[in-house]
This record gives sequence, C-alpha cells and structure tokens, in this order.
Amino acid sequence: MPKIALLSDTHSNLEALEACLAHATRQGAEAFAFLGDLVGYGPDPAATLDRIMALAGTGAPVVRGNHDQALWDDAVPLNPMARQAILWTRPRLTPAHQAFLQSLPLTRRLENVLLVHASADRPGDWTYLAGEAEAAASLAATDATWTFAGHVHHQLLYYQASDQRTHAFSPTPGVAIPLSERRRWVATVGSVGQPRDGNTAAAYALFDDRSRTLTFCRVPYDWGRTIYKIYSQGLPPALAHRLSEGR
Amino acid sequence: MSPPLPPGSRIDGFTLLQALGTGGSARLYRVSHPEHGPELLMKTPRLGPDEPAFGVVSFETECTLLPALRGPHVPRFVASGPFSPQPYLVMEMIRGRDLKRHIRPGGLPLAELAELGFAMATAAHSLHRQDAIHLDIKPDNILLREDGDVVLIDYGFAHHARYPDLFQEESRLAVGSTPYMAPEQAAGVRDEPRSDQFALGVTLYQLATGRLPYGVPATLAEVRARSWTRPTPLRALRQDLPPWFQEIVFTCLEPEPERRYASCALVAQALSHPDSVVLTERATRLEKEGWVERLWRSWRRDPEGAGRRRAKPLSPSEQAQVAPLFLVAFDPYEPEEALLRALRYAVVRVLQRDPESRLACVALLEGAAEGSGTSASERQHACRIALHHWARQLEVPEERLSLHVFESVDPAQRLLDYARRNSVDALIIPAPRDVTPAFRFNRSFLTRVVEQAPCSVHVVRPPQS
Repeated sequence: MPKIALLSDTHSNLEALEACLAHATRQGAEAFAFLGDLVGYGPDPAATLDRIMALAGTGAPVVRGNHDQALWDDAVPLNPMARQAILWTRPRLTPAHQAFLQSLPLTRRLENVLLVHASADRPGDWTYLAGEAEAAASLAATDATWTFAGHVHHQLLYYQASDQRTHAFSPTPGVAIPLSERRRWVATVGSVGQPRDGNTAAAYALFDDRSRTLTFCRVPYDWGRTIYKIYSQGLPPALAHRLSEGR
Repeated sequence: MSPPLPPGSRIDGFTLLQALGTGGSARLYRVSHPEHGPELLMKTPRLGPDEPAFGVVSFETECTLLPALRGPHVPRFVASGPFSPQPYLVMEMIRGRDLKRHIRPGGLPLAELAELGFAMATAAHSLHRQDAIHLDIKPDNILLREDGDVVLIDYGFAHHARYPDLFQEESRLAVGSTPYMAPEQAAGVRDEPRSDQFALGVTLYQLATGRLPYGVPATLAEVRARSWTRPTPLRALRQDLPPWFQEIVFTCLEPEPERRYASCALVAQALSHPDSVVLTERATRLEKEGWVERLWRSWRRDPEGAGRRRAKPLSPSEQAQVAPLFLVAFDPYEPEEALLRALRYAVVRVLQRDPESRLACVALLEGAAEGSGTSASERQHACRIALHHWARQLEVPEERLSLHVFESVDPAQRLLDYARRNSVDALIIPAPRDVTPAFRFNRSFLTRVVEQAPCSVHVVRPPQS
C-alpha cells in the first residue's frame, strides 16, 4: 500500500478539498481515501462529487458518511441546520451522483487498515469517537492494526499504552508519528471542509505504510470564496460564519 | 533469558562483532556495517514471557525518539528495525568515560563538580529545547565525550511532547530509577521537564559527597517522602563547598518544580557564573534537620501537590524558553549616541516581552590579549566601567544581568563560541556602517556572526533620517 492521504468530512467544500489534494500531492501522496460525509453543509456538492468520483474511478477507496446517507434516507438523525443543507443539496445532484453515494460501503479494509466514517463498532449507528471509551469500543470491534475515521471533525490519535488501556494523544501538525504494529491505533483525521477547533485551516492526515508513520496536516485555503458562495446561494448564513471562525 | 547472539551473526547488513552485556531491558552488541561504519552499538530488546513487560515499551519508545533527537548530547541514530524477526536499534558508539567512575566517597573537587554540572545541565537543556524529557538521568546514563561534552544515553523511559507516550499509570513503578526520581514523577507526571533538573541535582549531590541524598528507596511511598524530607546539607558533609554550590544543588532538589530553576540553561549559567547566584536560606543550611521540622513540613505539605498541574502545562521546549538568554555585543566606546540608543531600545523591548529573560552584555575588544600585561587588564577594566554605565540605564535587576569583556584577535569567533557554550537564545548586534571607527563591527564580522550563530541574530540600526 502506498503513501495514502486520508480525507474526511469534505462537506461540499471544493476550495478546501482542492487545497488538501494539492498539499497531499506535494507531500508525496500516491493515493487518496475518502472517509465519508462528502456532502452536506457546503455550497459545491456536484463539483466536489465530480472530483471524488473521478478519483474513485482510479481506485481511491471511499466510504459512506451519515450526511451522504441522509440524501436518500430521512431516518438518519441530523441537526436542523444539517437537515436544511441536505434538503438544499438534493435537487443539485444528478442521478449519477445519487447512485455513486448509494453504492458506497460503510467500511473498507485495505490489508491491516480499516477505513470507516464514524466507528468500527456498529458503523451504521454513527457513534462519535468522542473519547477514550468510544475509541476502545471501536478497537474491540476490529482486528485491524490501524483504524482511520472522521465524523468528529477534530484530529486525535488513540492508542493502547503499557497499561493495555486506550489513551488519547493530541497531535502536532506536520510531525510524522510512528505507529508501531506491536499495538493498535485509531485516528480521527479531522475535517477537510468544516474544521471545528478554532482553526480555519482544512485538516487531513497522511499514512505512510512503508515507514508506518501517520502525519496530521493542516492546510490553509480560501474560505472567503466558500462563504461567499454559501451566502449567495441561500444556505443558512451560520454555515458560512462557522467556516470563518473554524467553529 | 535467551543467550546472546553469537559473534558473526548478521542482522539487516550489520555484522555482530561482540556481545557487550545487557543494559536495562536490552542486550547490547558492538556491530559493523559496510556503509554506516566499522564500530556501532546495537540494542536488541529482551523479549519473552520471563522478561519485564516494560522492556518492549522502552524499546519502542527509544526507536521513536532517537531518530527525532539531534545534537552532540544524544547518540546519533543510525538505523532501526523495530518489526523484523529480530528487532534492533543501531546508534553511534560513544567513545568516552562513564560518569559512574567519578563517584567516590570524598566527592570530586569543586572545579570538576561545576564543570560536570555545567555539561550535564547543557545536555538536558538541549534535549528540552527539542521537546523531549529524559526522565531517567543518573550516572549510568551519562557519558563524557573526550571534549567534555555530556551524552545522555538510554531513552527508553523518555517522553516527547510530539509523540504518544506509551508509558501510562500502571507501569510507572518501573519507570525511572527511584534514587534520582523527582516527586512529581513518582506521582505519575511525565511531561514536566524540571523532573530532569531534580535528577541532575541528585547526581550532583552524589558526585559532591559520594552519597545519595535520599538513599535507595524501596517503595514508591518512600520516593514521595522526598516532598517533605530535606537531604543532609552538602556543607555539613563537606565544609570546603561554597554556599553558592549548595544553593544551586538545593534549588534543583526543590520538591515543587515551580521552585526549581525555570530551565536547565539557568542551572548551567549559575554553575559557570557563581558570582551571579543569589543566596537564600538554601545556601545557609548547615545541619541536618531534626524530626520535629520534618514532621512539621510533612503536615504542611499539600498531599496533592506533587501531582497537581497547571491548567495548561508548557511543552518542554516552551518551558526551556521561559527564561531565554539574550546577548548584546557592542563597542562601549561607540561614538554614535543614536546607535547606542537604538541598541538600548532593542534590548529593552526583548527584556520586557520575557520577564524572566536574562541579558549578557558583551564588550568586544579587538587585539591580542597576550603580552600586553598591565595595560591589557587596565583596558578591560575601563571597558567594564563603560559597559556597566550603559547597562545601568536598562534598569534590569542584577540577577538578570551579566557583564563580559571579550578581548580577542578573532572577536567573531569568541562571540560565537560563547553563544554556543551558553545556549544563547538570541544575539543582538549593531549593523555595520560605511565608516566604522573600529574594525570589529565591519561587514565580515557581521556576515560571519549571522551565518554561523547557533541562534537568531537581531541586527540593530538607528532610524535613518
């Protein structure tokens, strides 16, 4: 498996997606994987999907997120603003886009790596990896050495320490962290299209299978352009505001 | 325990030359490699059901940290194969003395203590600046290179702020060597760089007296007792040691990290500039405290104290920067008042920004110090008075200030050597001018300093009208 860029929660933010793809390419990424929530919240669902579908056509693995499923499944629980954005998104997608989203699996396994949107523990329940207990449950549900997930919109690394318990580690962007295969790991890679940690820069991670290292990355992008589109196309203004603050 | 691998064995291109015994939870071998070199050190973890569980974690920790660390105070990383059938880690073979050999009943002479202490503190500071904490500083883990530099070895228990810490609570009993361990480390805190300073204080105490200040504790509770137990004063054991030395060692041994030096650079600075050490009650202790006093302190102590943390702990590199050392070098006879004023403003700005920062004021005198006899020392004395006059106007407390006169045929080299040796954080020097009254601040001086300085260089120029 080559050096792979792990991109999650793109949320129809084309500017952030392009910035991350370009950054990953400069960093030597040879492949891309998408961990769900390709759409929702943002103003460019069709263009974003076109870009991701083209990469999927060349072999990029893609898994399904709750916002993706909400496009055809009203039973998916969403907050009112997210629901409003999904209703806005539906008429803007072609049947091909819809078919692509419906074809997505909940998980993808690549050798010792598991890709999932929320948690390896009942992935269709969309449980947030909100802390060490949820991460431990996810670890217990798979035998993969490395699990990469999104959904929570922040970057954290969970690992089993010397006491056999699961601990959280807050990574420094740009540092290649060795992930020894003597223990098992779960990483939440952050959100490309809607970071929520007070930093407006887009987030993703790079996994190098040869050196067994994971690098969390933050990439500045032109969010001014994205929020202009949100304001001018009738999406809730709060969605624009939060991009400008990274909240 | 499985037997060592026989000489002549090959692992990933390395040839085993000799088994060197065991070190902690690992086996050590002298190895060679056609590209990496004829003499290297290989570590292999002792794996198996009978081996201590923390051995594997120590090995993983060292494999993660060693490649990330730089400088003369860390063995140079060569290669690692953490996952191959025979896991291994290869590093530079340090040719040097072992600090253990310096421990003797009567202790070392003061000059040697100060020199070793300076070298150890400089090594620890270099590590902290890289966001790492050793957490197992003791004579066994300190080697001396032939040039006097200290190398800290064995990073199996170390912590690095940028990597996940594999050691967590349950294993802390085994983590670190208890005679040298800081109380907060015994309470499970692994991200406090000043824990290394405590271990350094224990080592210095041992080098000075041949005794361990807190003995060899058998339980973790005994380690925690050092929160309220004071060791026998150094000067009660050795009358020839000056108060300033006791002040430094006992500041390192303060139970609360906040009461120790802010950084190991300050320990090094104090050991190399005894005149600047402000003496407190620590320096005057002469008798071992009685049981009443000890009981009193154990009552008064904050039971959660050792484990209590700041709201947001500083990373080791941030903590190492809390008390930065700035150096301003100039000609105190500089005729251009505007330049002197600009230098003063520049210095005041940086000192105000970092309230714990220190300033070294250096007057550079060009010329041969040799053969000039009385006139040289008089020239230096006059220069020191001019320097003192300039520094007075900064209104910096004495303990944050040091004054130096460097007289050298190669002032740039003298300045660079000082900056390197004293871990200076930034240099402040005047810009060269077309008409320079003295040779020493010309363009070639500036170019060399800027190119070769081990830190940032701030070049000051008065406003041009």
